[in-house]
Amino acid sequence: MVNYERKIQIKSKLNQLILEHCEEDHKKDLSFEGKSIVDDFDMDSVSLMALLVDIEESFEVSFDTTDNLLELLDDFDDFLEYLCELMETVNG
Amino acid sequence: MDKKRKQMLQEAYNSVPMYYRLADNAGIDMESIIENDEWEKVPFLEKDWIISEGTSALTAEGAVLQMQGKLMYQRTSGSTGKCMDIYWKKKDYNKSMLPLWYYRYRYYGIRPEDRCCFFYTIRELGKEEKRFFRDKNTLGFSKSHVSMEELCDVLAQMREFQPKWLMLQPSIAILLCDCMERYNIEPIDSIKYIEFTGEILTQTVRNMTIKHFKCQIADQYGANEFNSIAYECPCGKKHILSQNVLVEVRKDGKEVPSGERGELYITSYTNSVMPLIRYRIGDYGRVTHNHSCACGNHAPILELESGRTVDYISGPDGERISIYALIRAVDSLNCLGEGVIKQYQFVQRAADHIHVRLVVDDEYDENDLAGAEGKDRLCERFLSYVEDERLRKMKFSFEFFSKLLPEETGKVRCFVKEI
Repeated sequence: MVNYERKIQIKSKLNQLILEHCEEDHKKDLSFEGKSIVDDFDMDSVSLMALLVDIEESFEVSFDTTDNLLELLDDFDDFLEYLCELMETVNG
Repeated sequence: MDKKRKQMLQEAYNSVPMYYRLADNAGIDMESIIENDEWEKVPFLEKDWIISEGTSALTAEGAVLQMQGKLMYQRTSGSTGKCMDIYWKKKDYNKSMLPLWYYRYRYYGIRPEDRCCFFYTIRELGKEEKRFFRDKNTLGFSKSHVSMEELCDVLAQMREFQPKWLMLQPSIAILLCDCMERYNIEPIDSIKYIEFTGEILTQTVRNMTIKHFKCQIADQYGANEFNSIAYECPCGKKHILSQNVLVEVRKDGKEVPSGERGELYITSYTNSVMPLIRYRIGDYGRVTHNHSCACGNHAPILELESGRTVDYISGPDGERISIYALIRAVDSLNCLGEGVIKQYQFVQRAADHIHVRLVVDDEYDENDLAGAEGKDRLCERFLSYVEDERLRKMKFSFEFFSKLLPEETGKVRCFVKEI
């Protein structure tokens, strides 16, 4: 389990990456909790993919191809949890 | 039946008029089917049914959005020669494209910002299709301008553009390879990957492409109705994009064991306004569920045994002419004329004679197609949308039908060569 402070850092970085890829209208959003990364930020498939690539590179993780990314991306909180677990697995 | 499938059935059969009628005709109680997990009893869907239903194939929300002009839609010809409208919410469309992008990156290192070249059938409705267009990291070329001389220019433009990857139909790849062979054109070093789509990919075309382009290649199977259905991994296996679709294989209506041949039925998980459930796509193949593909992807593997074949019109001098130049004319008429052409078939009767068989919507007022004059006007407009100079020199004849009958495969081939 990732500790609370580490989770805040991960969340902050994830927010930053989403802001870099989302449409202008959403750049003023302060919190993404409860939102769908796929649906609520007006990103097309190219931007979504670019975001995933940036997430993998920034956090030095690799998403498991068996995971249902669409379902995970549908909920920011779920995705954050998934990312934290992934980092815990990778980094120990 | 998983939760996703149950939810999809509930939404479709509660809010799509087409599905109410389907349930009525089949005499089924969908609530009971969902409650008892009886997926086998869910009716199959035929293309003809969807075409006849029109916007009744949309959910209630979808119908409202469609009237407000807020849906994306594609009106295309497809490989069956039957024209159908597909509607998407932009968000759903993006969802359906994401799995393909993800695997392109994971398997072949293709990132969204990498430069790409591709060929399009139609970009500008009606006349005067631009021969190419450029947008951010993409450079597209018109399929109506692919004579040998034009392809030399295409390859030169590609070399200048330095794409990392290409998206091609096999028929276009053959023309490019022919051109490179004829004029001794060197491979373009920047190209690391070619993705094939839209037609059956044979080993001959694979070998030819690797010989001339010296890069990785992958085959992608998709349809306008669903976007991407299956995608080839580096081990040469086409894995179904299970986040986007469910693929079933049936023979005589019954499920076949894993690995056996049958007809494909596809269900979309991502289109919420025009849900397609157990849709008979018209293709045949095998799906293997239990495998240990070295790529690590456990999704079922699809082996396709049918699909759009590589077809060419033979020019008077023996040159191969892409049929997309004619398909473009159909698409132009349909886009500008609100679906006037319901079905079509091109028949090459002689080296300089193309016979066009059409099934049209008689209710299309502008042409008053009940009369000969209206039909003549339609034929003139069709010809005005044919841009390939070699085709424009050919003789065209037209014949109108109330329906084109399918062949044994269940499909009407969109091109037949009688020479």
